[in-house]
Amino acid sequence: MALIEIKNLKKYYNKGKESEVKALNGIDLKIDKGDMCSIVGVSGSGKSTLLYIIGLLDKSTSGEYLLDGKNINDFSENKLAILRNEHFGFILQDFGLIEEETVYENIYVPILFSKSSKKSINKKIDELLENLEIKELKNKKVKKLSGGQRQRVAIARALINDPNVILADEPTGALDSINSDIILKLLIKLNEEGKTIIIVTHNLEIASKAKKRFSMKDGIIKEYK
Amino acid sequence: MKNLKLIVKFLKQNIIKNTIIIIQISLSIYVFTILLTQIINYKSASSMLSKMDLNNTVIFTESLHISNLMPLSDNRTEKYENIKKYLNNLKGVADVYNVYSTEIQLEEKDIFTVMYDDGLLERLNFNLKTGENFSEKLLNDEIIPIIISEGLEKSYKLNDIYKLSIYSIPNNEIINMKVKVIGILRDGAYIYSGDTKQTLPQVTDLFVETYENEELIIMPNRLLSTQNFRINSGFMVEISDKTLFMRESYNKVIEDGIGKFIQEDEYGNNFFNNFIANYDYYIYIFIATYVFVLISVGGYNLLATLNYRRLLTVYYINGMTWRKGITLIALRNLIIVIIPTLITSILCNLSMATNNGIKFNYEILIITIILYLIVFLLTTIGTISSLINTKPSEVLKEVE
Repeated sequence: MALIEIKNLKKYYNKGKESEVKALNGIDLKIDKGDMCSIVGVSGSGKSTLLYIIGLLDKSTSGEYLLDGKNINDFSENKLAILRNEHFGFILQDFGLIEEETVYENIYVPILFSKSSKKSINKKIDELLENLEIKELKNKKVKKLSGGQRQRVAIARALINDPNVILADEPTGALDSINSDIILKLLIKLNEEGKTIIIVTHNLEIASKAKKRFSMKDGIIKEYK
Repeated sequence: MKNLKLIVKFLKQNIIKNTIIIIQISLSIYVFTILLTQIINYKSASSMLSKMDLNNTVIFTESLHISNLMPLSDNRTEKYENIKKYLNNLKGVADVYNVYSTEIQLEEKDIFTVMYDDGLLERLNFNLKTGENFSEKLLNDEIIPIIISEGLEKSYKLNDIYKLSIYSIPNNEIINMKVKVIGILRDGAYIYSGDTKQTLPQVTDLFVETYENEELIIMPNRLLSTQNFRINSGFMVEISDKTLFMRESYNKVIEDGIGKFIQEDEYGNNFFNNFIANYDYYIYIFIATYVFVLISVGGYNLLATLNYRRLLTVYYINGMTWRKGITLIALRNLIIVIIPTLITSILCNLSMATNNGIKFNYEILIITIILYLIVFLLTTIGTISSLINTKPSEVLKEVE
């Protein structure tokens, strides 16, 4: 059974109006546990919309989305929030960090909404910071960090609840080539450790590192080799 | 504990803006309460004034020391009658009435008393707890009718007759009269003072709100013959369809002569006095200011609340439900907005009650809090709906 299975998924904005936009126009997609997938496409192709629907941040207009064989349309808002918190880790182009807070406080954010035990959370944060080589930044405010450091903080936050799936939306979009390489290697390492990774990017070189590669155009997805 | 931590984290964001909002709210509530008090007083006063139908009427308090104004005779009653006669002869003036306040002795107890000429008293409709207002029939009775305040209700009973004692200055003697309680004035009722102590008088100055347990008697003026006059201040003249209020120093009055400062022409061309005379404008100014204060505070808070969009989006991505987001915004508004509103409103009302000797105004307090609640409920709904309708990526890309 696929970890993520999407059938004829559609997402329309302003449905029925003159300004109707078909962001996703019948997507079929299967992602297995431990996959590393990339989705490439130009701006407006629908790749980020698809990622947000996979990450339960947005809802489709029609179609089926099965997560671990369960239809997410049957889930309440509460259940979706729990799944988002426990099963998905997000890495975003703009980092999605709270600028005024410290690295530690940012990594702690998913814990605020988690129902799991908070025991030894400090130890876990320390381990993550060490693995990502940013331990010395623990008590620094995010606004004082470089782009590469910020993205590593975002990765640490994405991993704090030990999710099954990492969703990365243009994770190297705001980074220079050296930091891009570091982040990409980290994502590959996480995949090797068993995490399912889905990367949305317009960078073909990054996309080529994935085992499964998809391209999107006008709301339609195709797998390519 | 986790929720508390979340709320603290939430409040720590935008701490400077939140502090500014608290200060802004406190100041605005202060202004707001004063304005609301003015509106309520104004409405009550103008309503009473219109019922009194004072067209072509002059009402004066003992503002003019009669002996200073008309040094014709030592007999003050005669001077008083002369003033009345003089005012009666002025263009457009039909009736002249006097309002007089002093202390009288009712059954050995000194009590503050406001006395009105009979013709005026018949027009006044006091807000009574029980009993009846003055009427021509009662005023013609041999026993003098009086209305007492609620504060005197325990000491004097409705329809009972009591002994009233006046000390007469020229004769150096006590004069006793019989009075009957015909009504009990409700606490908070307005009484007409006919007096203004302001440099720029307003219609509301003409009425005084009685406070809780105030001891007060209202009665017809039967004391002229005792010649127990006292100087107060203020003067009100009603001419044709315009109401003019004025206050003059005694010297000015003596210098110009009484007729000078109540000539219609002299004030007819004066913009400010016309403006005051046309007192309906006041209520619009108050309401406009009131709405402006509310919108400006609400608007600034909306902008400040929108700053939470990014934070709430980050929380949402990491597992928060929008329901929790609404709770957080509502709690933030409760702490930053509603609690300061409540505290400032109570303090303002208490302070006004203490300073002015009036009772605590729950009506104003409730109106203020309800209005601010509505504004901040709209702020909360506006913020959350703007978030739900925007993609998280778009919110995160917004410049803070």
